Amino acid sequence: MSALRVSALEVTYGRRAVLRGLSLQAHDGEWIALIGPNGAGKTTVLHALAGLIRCAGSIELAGRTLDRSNRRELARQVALVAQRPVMPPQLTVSEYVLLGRTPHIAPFAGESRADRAAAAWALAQLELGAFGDRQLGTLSGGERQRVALARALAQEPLLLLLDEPTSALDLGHAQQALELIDSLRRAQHLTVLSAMHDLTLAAQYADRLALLDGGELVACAAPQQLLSAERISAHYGALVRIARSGGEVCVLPSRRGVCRAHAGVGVARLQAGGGEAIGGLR
Amino acid sequence: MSAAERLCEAEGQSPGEGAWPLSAPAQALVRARGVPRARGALIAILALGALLLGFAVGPVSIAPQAIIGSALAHLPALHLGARLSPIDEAILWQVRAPRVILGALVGAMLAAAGAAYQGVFRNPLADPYLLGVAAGAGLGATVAIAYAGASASGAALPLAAFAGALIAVAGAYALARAAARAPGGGALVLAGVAIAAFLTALQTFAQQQRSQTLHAVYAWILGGLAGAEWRSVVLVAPYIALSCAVIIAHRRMLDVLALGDEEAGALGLNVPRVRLVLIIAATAGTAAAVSVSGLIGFVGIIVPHAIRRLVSGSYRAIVPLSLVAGGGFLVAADVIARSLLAPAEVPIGVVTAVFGAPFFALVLLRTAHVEL
Repeated sequence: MSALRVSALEVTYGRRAVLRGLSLQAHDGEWIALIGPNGAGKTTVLHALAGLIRCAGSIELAGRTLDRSNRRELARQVALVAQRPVMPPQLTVSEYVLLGRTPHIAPFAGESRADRAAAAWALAQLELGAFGDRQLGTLSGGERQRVALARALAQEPLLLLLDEPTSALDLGHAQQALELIDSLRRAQHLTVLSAMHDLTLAAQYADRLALLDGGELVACAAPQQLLSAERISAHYGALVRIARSGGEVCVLPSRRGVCRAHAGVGVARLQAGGGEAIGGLR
Repeated sequence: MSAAERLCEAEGQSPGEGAWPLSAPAQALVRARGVPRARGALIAILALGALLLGFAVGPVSIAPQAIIGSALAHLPALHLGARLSPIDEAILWQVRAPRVILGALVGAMLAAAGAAYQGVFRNPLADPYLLGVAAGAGLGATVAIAYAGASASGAALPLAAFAGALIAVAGAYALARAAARAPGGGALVLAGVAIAAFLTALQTFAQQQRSQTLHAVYAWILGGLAGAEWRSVVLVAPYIALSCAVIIAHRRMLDVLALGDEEAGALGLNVPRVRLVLIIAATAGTAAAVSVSGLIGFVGIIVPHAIRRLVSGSYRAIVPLSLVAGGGFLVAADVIARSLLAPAEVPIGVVTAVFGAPFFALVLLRTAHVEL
């Protein structure tokens, strides 16, 4: 069964179409990474699914069409972790994670016992039990990312949207965060949609990659099939080599392109030159 | 897994079918701090002390126990306490009481509105006058005094100030809406700056044109509680009570707003609507307060910050405690304003700044570890 079914998603800003007829399906517990160059529309997809911007088309989650006009209902099913979550420095971790219960709480009410239990559960899931009373301002980058995930998890969503979950983290913390997301989605059957820049990490963790360019979905497939030097050259304007070993795909930026660009070779030539760079370690 | 199953699991009653092992067998329920009891009680006691001081201090001093006795004697059905002499009764209940109550209402309103504005705009420099309330009220009052001959004791002056304040903020909101489809904090603040500059220029022009009323205009702008009567208390109390009730009801939503528009929206909050409701409540209450007290500065910005730095960063504590502390602070400032150079009065805005600024500097130094 398909947990998420997005059909003909369109977003326009004024007269400019930023997303054109995007259709995408994900099954229960699947992780799809949205990849594509800057401005391709990755964040727009996430914001449209989170109900933050107006869009046309239909979104089905767990067999039901999402009513995007009901914000609270939507927020009970879809959680978003922003690229750089705003964390008021004097709030405690507990208070912050409890804010994730907002869509489950009547507008002027406080948290019930069940809400507090859900927040405690979310903290435990991310091994943050001992952090409850820490102020957000005292957390490190890796801890902040875990706390943001705990807040999203306290929302008890069916669909978790992550905007560049590792952009503020070093490699070690990025791996830890992605491992956590991976075990959470397996344990909770969470469908995950994440915008990612690092293609190698995206290929390692996501089941499928969805390549966007210019507001259109170019391809959606398993990393092994999707990542090729031609594709990356055509859509990112980058020269890369693709290394494959033991079922893993590794995207290696190639220095030769940078030298050419410095020598004054235009992007068109650079893209055309992408073909020469294929192969490599293949 | 349902919330109920999670409750069991979180309390360690049954591990349930959760696929993810809990790191600790029994998880304590997490909770938001809300208003911490000890500090909340201390602030309430200090504010009550300030009220008592306001009743007791003046050219005729009345002992605190006599005040409490007289107050009890006024309660119907209970035969407690003892009335004072007729003169002392009149001084206490017709002169000092309305002034103290009005001071408490205005101080509470300005501090609560300041907290609401700081939350809505996520801007530590926001105060209740951010969107042009002060400029609008100032223009309204100046026009009433300079062209209509309104006096400080008449009913026309507060009405003109109230209307001016509301028109100014409505203008700022309309301008921001025209400039951006869903006005965010930035567009509103800039629109407020434009409106305030324009209205202040008109106010200065009117003031200079009728220079014979300069003194009356200036006295109003400096603000004060002299000449407070029960009539003014009755006039503004409903606005202030309603406005404070709305702000208190939104205290948790202010915490959600603090996460930024994007995340607050993703948590199901209708950000533009919540922002508009809070702006209307804070503005109407501030306009009512300003209409009877003039422009009293500093309370609306330092009280919420002092609470934030000394007690908690959550609006669930900041809003109610700012309200209580703001009321107490303004009553205490008024006691100083009327006794320092008695029988003359020092403008209350001078007192709030002269005593408030060093106090706030001390708070800043003692809480240097707290980020804004």
